Amino acid sequence: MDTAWLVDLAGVWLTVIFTLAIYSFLYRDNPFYKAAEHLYVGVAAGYTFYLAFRNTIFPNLVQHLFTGVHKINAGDGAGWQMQWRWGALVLGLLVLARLIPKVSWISRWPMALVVGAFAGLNLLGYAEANLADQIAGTMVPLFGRSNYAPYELLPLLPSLGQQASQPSTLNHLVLVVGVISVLTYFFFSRERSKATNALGTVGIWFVMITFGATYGSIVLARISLLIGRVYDLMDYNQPQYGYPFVVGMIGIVAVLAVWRLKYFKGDKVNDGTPGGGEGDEG
Amino acid sequence: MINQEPTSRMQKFLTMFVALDRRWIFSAVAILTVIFMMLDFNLPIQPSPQAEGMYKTINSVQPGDVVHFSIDYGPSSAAELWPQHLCILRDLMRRGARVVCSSLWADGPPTIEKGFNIVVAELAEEGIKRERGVDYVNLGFKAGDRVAIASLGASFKRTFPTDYSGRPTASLPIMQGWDNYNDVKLLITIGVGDPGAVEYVQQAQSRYRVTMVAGVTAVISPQLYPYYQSGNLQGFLGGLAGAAEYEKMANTPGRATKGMNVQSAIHVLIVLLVLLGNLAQFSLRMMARR
Amino acid sequence: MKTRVPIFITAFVGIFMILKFFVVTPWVSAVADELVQWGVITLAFAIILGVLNLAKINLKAVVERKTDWPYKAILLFGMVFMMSVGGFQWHLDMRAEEALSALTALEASGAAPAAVAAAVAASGEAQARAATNIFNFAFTRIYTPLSATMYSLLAFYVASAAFRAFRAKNLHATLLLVAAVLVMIGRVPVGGLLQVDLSDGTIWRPLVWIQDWLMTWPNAAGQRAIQMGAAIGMIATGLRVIFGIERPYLKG
Repeated sequence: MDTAWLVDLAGVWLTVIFTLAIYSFLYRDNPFYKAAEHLYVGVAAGYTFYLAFRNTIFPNLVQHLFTGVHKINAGDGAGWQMQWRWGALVLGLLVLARLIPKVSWISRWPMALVVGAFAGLNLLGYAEANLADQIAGTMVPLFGRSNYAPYELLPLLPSLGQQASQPSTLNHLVLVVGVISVLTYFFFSRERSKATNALGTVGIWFVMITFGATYGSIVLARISLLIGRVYDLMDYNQPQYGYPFVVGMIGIVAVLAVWRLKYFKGDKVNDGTPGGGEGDEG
Repeated sequence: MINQEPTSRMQKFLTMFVALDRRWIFSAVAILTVIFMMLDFNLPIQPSPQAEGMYKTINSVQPGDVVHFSIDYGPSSAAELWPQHLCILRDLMRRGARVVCSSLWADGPPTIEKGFNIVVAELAEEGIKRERGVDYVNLGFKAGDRVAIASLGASFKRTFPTDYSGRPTASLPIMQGWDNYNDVKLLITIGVGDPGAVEYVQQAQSRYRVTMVAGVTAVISPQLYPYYQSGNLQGFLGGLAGAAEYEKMANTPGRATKGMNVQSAIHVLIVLLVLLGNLAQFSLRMMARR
Repeated sequence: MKTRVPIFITAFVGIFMILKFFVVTPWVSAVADELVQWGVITLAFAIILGVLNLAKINLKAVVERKTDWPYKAILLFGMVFMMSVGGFQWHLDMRAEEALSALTALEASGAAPAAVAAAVAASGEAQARAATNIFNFAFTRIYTPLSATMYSLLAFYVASAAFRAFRAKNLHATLLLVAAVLVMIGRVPVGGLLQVDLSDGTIWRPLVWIQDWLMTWPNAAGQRAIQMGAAIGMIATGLRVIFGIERPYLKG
């Protein structure tokens, strides 16, 4: 047997065992799940550490400074300007001061830089993409000619024979009323008058439809993730690998049964979702 | 919930169904998934206007055009996004675009490598040669979230002094003659969340008015409809369903198309459960009132 | 020092980010671009900090034999393993790069064909070693299944949560439920199976059509209003942060 084949075989079995170990959480929290979960956190952290250092700190900081020094030695004036990057090194090291309780306050300085950069960039990005562009997008004609090519006359109602996204008076009205009513609901939650109350009520309807659509999409997304895993399990479930899915499944059920009978104490079902979730399943 | 003691047998059954143990549902989902995975048939797929916009935009790329293809996902959502990534990359490479890949997510770069390896090998079999550093490049990961996107707006070469494997980008043929979004013909992001499509719209598209399309998870896709309507995005794909639509238009049915069978089955199961749950609840309420 | 300096830094950086957008003077752009680079590097250090902190906490738990310490030892093992494997990959990549530049130099100097052939072989071997090694194995066979399966667990929970939570108690809950059900069915091919022949000969797929309409118009309106609300909030917060009225970095 050659090494490549053995590596492949080991890889397939590892994949299947890790997958099933995590799925064992569906029965209840157990040592196999816990071990796999902790391994995941460790591996993910180690990997991120490696890549943050290699793909960001090394090229943008260390190499940059070295190149600058080389340029200065070669008599290239551009090297001096590159020395500004020492500031980033100082701030970066100050971030790590957080690990030492006595001087951890100084890590506020680099954090202040990040907060400032985020604030400035977000201010512009949101103002342009989420405010200006969206207001412009809401200024749609309700009657007359459409503002998209081929500038046809807007039909009053959407036509069933065409795609639902085709512009029409009704569709544009839904868009405009929807945006205004939801904004009314957001901004006039305290000072209410009859008009804002009525509009706000319509706003809630739109919000509910939006959330419903989002929930439907979340279901779509999560089921797709499961399909991906089952694809892998079934792909690897080949005779040349020794049917790892079937064997692994029987193995994990057997081991779980033994664990349940021998070592398991108490009958508390863990109701929480596992770590790493976005907590969006309500 | 119903407070009274269940009396009739029907009531007992309905009360039990309303509070069905979650593990029965888990089992049903698992069994249906495995069964429909083994069945071999394909349901017809109707591409959405958003997916059509995406396909049209990607297939209007000319040979030599610089395309920034940002891969902002890792293995955790590969099931949804990898099929999208693969068919888009195929189209781009076949059309001879200069494909510049980078990632704002640490676990993105190995996925970028995997994509290039597969597509370059496929094209080589057809006799089309695509060379690393000339036709495509993997710039690797950059920390910094939207700050990194802002940095790309100033200079790609300064943001990514080296590529994923440490080669200086300034000397790569693919990086010559352009350095920021003013010269990028198309911006594509395949993204799972933040940073992803929304951040690229805010920091790159709206600022430099670069043509942009996005492939996102189904969770993100409802958020992109306004950007599509306002013209920030020329199109987008939502999750595995979006990938299946793209596969249909590109006429390369793959994993997404097949996955739609299972997806349909599970959705029908969930919808049935929801409807039956409501019906049971409603009947119980009626019985209690009587 | 503890509060004034951060306020100054935030204001300085924030104002330059905005100035760069409105002022085309080269030195403003140069300062802003350098500050953006500093931000990128600082955030990379923040990742390093997070990992070191995780290592510190877990190492302490293992040393003090706290409850569940064996799991924490597994975590630490995974972390150190992945870092070493990454370091090894880096080493191999550097070797491949050296071999390649040696080859280029040799070709340029017009060396003997035999020497060039040897260099080509050496470079090819180095490339191959860098492409397939233990790092790839660790990423595809350990990290990938763990990460992908962890998130796919939610598929089961989303199904049972839908069953429990979606009850038509009132108008709002009903709207939510109907929208969700329509999206779930209309977004997948099974929704397209229901077809109606219209009088003009075209086929209407009601479930797909309604789903599409719901997403493109009411959903877009709701999402847009939410995004505009978020934008107004973000602009206000941004200004408050830059002017030092709000100081998020002082917490913790």
